[in-house]
Amino acid sequence: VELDTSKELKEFREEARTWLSENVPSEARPHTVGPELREYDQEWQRRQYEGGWAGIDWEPEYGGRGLSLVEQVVWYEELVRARAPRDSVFSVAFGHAGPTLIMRGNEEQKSFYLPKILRGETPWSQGFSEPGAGSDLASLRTRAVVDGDELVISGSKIWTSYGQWSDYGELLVRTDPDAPKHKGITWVIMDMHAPGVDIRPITSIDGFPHNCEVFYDEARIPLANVVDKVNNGWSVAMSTLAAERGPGFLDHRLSEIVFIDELTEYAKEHGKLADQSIADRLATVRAEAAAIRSMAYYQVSTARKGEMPGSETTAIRSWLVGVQTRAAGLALDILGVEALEWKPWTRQWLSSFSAPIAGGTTDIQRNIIGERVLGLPR
Amino acid sequence: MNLAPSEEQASIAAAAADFLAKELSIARIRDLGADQGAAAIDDGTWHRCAELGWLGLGLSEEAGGVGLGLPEEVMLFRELGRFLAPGPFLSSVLGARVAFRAGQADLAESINSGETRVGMQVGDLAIDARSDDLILALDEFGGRLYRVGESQPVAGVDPGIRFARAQTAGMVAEYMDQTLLARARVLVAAELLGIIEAVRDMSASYAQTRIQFGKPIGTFQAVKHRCADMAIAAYACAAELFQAALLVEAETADAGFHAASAYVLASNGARRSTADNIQNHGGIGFTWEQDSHLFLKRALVFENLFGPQRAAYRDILAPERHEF
Repeated sequence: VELDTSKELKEFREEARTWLSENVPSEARPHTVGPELREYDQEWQRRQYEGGWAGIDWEPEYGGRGLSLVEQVVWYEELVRARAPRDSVFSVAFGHAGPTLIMRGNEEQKSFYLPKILRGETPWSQGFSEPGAGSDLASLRTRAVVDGDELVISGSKIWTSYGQWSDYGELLVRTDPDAPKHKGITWVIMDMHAPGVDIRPITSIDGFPHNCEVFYDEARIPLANVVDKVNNGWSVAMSTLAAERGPGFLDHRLSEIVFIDELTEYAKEHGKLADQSIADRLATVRAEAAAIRSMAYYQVSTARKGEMPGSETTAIRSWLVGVQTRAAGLALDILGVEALEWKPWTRQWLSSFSAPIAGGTTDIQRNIIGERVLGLPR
Repeated sequence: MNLAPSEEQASIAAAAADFLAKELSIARIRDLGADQGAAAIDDGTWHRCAELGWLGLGLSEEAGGVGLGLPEEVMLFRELGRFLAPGPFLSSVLGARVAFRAGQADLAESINSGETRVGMQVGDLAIDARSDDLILALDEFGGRLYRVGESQPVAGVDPGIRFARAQTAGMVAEYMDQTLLARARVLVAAELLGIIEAVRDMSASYAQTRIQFGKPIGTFQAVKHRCADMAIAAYACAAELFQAALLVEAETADAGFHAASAYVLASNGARRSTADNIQNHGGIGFTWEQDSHLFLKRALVFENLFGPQRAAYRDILAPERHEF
């Protein structure tokens, strides 16, 4: 436990802060379903790349800055502090696919796909869940059959975030139906524009199509799109999920702190703290949000010693979900009757219901903590 | 900001845990608790703790301390909480600081060495303050030490703590510094973290071995999830606590916010975890002979140590923005 007050890091933060103050888009991110959403995110990502702020801890040979995880965390903090757009069609690319390729991809894959992400060219989507494989992900059934130097994919995926805006998908497919369920899975890079791929957006309870259902009807991709080895995809997927639990999506996590700052500001301005129960809940959730950031540092501090994010960091996600849920509900109570109008916080409250479900329900997460951290029997 | 304990910091915790397991086992704590006429901790053990440097870990060497910082004190206090250590550790550690900063090096040395004990004023109650001891009155502006006059025992909720109504004679030292409360909150948060971790481990161990319906009760999701919630609370609390310790030590602008946050997280986590721990144990958890209630009671005292939680809430709501 020690305070890092290195001059270099302070300068890096200052530099980031200055750049962001001049470059964060003044226009809000469109909340529409058309191509303008992708264009907006691409433009913002391109601007970050050109300014030298894309892939802070990615290798320079793939277009990154080649700095450490600590600088990456500082960049995320400054992004959030500057109220920069943080939802993006590139979220899966940065939080999932990129880190997975860095950990498990071959040289060819890394040098082809990673720069395209950093330059804001190719959004990715995630194709893990299926109608019959939710929390029990390993029971997935989408088939992939080797045909010469190609894989032929048939089946369906669901909850594919950003599917309608993506060029590539990280896809888990079953390549050996006879093997035990964890053994016959392969992690592939899907071309979402390939013939036989049918993408249908699903409207969520907030009226926005956050996810898609995707049907694969003998869609073909080269065998070269397999990451790591055929039938070793479960292990690759674990790397993906480790990235998700680790520094991936850190900007999303930290943005909760800024949201609660906004709530606090609003409550103060509108005299809502006179309601003692509102004040109590706000103080509590603000304290809880502070821990989101300290947990990130705690995790990075241990990761620096060369450890993979462990199961105990599932606690980070469970904690975050609790904060998100309570803060979104509190926002409505602060608004009172006004929340009945279609306000951004009303929408945010509705969208918060996905938090304890997406990426594995919190029920399953707590099973994992009970079993892998505390050693409880299954 | 590196929040992982260093090897040296971890060794402070390990040495403390080792000593506490040997010298202040739960059986011994129960013996001490049974004799409410005597002090919460005997002079011999108190002096040995003082010799280990526990009362002056974070005080500079010129003040007769060990010369380490708040993060190291946090490592110690986490173990004191985990082992339910009896005795006025918090108020004596803070009292030595007040005495030294007030220019009374001799008094600081006397507290450090275990000669003088410092109890704590909590509302109208004096805790672990015998006649002739000192007592610390702490508020958001700083701390004052008074000499205890007559001390009238009062039956209290925690058998490991002595409660009294005490007359105070004159003020002995005064140190007005708003960071003192932040320091106190961090140290109590550390003890509360130790409590959360202790009941987490107690519950997990019981859930692995207690058989009902032919299987360990830890297989039941309801029980498993309560245990997992304890682990989640402990992880979040540890992270926020270590950060708060660093910032309070460095006297940054947001130190008070983080100290209050760590304290609130630890209080809430301990209140829920110690209650859930009783539920996880079923009927045996409701008995005097089982240890669960001792953790519940200690957590309650810590939650009330600085008056209502709303004082901490005010400090949490005060900053306009989170500092990055």
